[in-house]
Amino acid sequence: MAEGQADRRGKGGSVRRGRATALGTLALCLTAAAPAGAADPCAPWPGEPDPLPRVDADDEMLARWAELRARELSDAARDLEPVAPLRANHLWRRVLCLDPGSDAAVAGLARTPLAAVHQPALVTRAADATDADVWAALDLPVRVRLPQPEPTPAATPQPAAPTPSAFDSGVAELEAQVRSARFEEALAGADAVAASAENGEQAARAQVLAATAALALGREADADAHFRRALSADPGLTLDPMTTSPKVRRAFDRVREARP
Amino acid sequence: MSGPLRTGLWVLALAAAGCAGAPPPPAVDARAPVRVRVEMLGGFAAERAPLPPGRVALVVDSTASMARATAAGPSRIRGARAAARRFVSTLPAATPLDLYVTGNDRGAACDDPITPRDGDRDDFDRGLARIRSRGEGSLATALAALPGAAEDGGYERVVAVSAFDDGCGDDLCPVAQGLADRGVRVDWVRIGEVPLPECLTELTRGLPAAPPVPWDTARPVPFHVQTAGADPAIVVCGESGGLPVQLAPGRAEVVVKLDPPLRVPRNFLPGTRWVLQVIDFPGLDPPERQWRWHADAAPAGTGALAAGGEAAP
Repeated sequence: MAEGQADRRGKGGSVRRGRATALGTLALCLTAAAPAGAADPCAPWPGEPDPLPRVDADDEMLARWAELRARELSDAARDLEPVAPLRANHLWRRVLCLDPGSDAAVAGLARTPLAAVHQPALVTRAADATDADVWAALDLPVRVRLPQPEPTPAATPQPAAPTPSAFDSGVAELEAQVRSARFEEALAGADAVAASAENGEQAARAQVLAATAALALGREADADAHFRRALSADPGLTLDPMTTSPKVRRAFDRVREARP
Repeated sequence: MSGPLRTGLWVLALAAAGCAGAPPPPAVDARAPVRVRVEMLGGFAAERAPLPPGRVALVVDSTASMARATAAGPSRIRGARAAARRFVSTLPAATPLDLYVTGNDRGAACDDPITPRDGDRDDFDRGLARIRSRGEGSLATALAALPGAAEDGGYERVVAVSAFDDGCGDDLCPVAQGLADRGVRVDWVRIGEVPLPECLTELTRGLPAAPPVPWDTARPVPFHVQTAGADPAIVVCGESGGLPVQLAPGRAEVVVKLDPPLRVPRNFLPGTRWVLQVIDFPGLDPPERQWRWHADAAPAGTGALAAGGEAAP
């Protein structure tokens, strides 16, 4: 026998029941990844019901609690991501205990790895790029000041043979990498190529190539960031519909429209 | 077995079966007390205290291998200094930061311990400028010695700037996992072209299984039962999650001291036991609260919550 009342001061979500997606297996993987003898990662924390309910619990009250708790933890994880990514990662894993099908938690875990490798290109010409947050900036090219060369005796000036600029050769390599589906390589070198650009149009060209590679790898957030940099470098940038895939154009248009 | 004995056993068995049959329901004393307890299914408090920025350690490798030139031209140590300098300049001033340098002392051994450099943030530039590639030191050993987030003055984040080929000291992989287990996130900043082992990013754990934020406390909520009517009087007080309170049957109102208080009137029949289950998430936007009664004798979770919050039979 039970009776109850909901006091939803505002809109409340409905209980999702029996939701099962392939992403749900990630929660199981996380459990499986725990070392032998380690504590159950989904054991209740102080104040939580024991055992920890899930959003598909038979008891609707407990299922509702799990849903609200998952929402609350997701909010907190988003707040923590920029300042304490490991804590945010911990909260996202908790959300998966409550809601194994949470796409937001899976995406949150992808955004907050336990460690990250940054491989900034060393450049000598362009200024340091600082259009990203302090942690994302660890990936951007770093400007290194070279020691001044010793003055050499003046020589008879010779007519210089036309040589391709660093940008020209870099962007040609970048295009070749994208054409041959070497997207990781393209992404790794794109910022250095952009940093060697001599004008905004060139920098935008390199960033669009990087965005194309990121989209091909399914890294939409990275692609958006490259498009934003492209538009920062060349605010009037448009993509040629004859030579650009619809997927790339759609992503570009979305970023352009989102700009203030 | 003899016939009379067998008959006797049958008589006994039938008598026992008769005793085990459903007895008539006992008459309920109209004054039999009622027992009530409150169970909170809560969330974070309405106001979450902001977490102070986590402590950051910047570890710069200045071992002899950092003197080599990169493919781009500048030496690794120049690249490391420039990367570290930019990182320091963009890190919010409120973030506590310590600078460590491995191998900065000429002739130091691989297991030479590292200590944070003195000086405040303004001195970092000068400290970084003084870094020279000349000594020995193990990045792995240095990182393994750093205190984790759970320790007093420990680090939540470590930025390690290196070419990762000093060949000195321990394997970085277990050190990386150890840092993650101690609540430290590591950003490996590679200067040069030496590939890093995949294990550095394929970590599987991270933080012990304890709440990673201080907001989540099992906070008991006081409640009282008061008489119904225009001039209520408090009958009994209790605390959520505690023992049941006992009261006389009849109409009464349970008041759970949430913000705002939850008031639930009920006519309690004699001799009954009840649990008031309350979901309260004041920190959500919008906040949400639900409650339901269920009989205490019934196993938890047998009551249904009707759609829209109406009472279910």
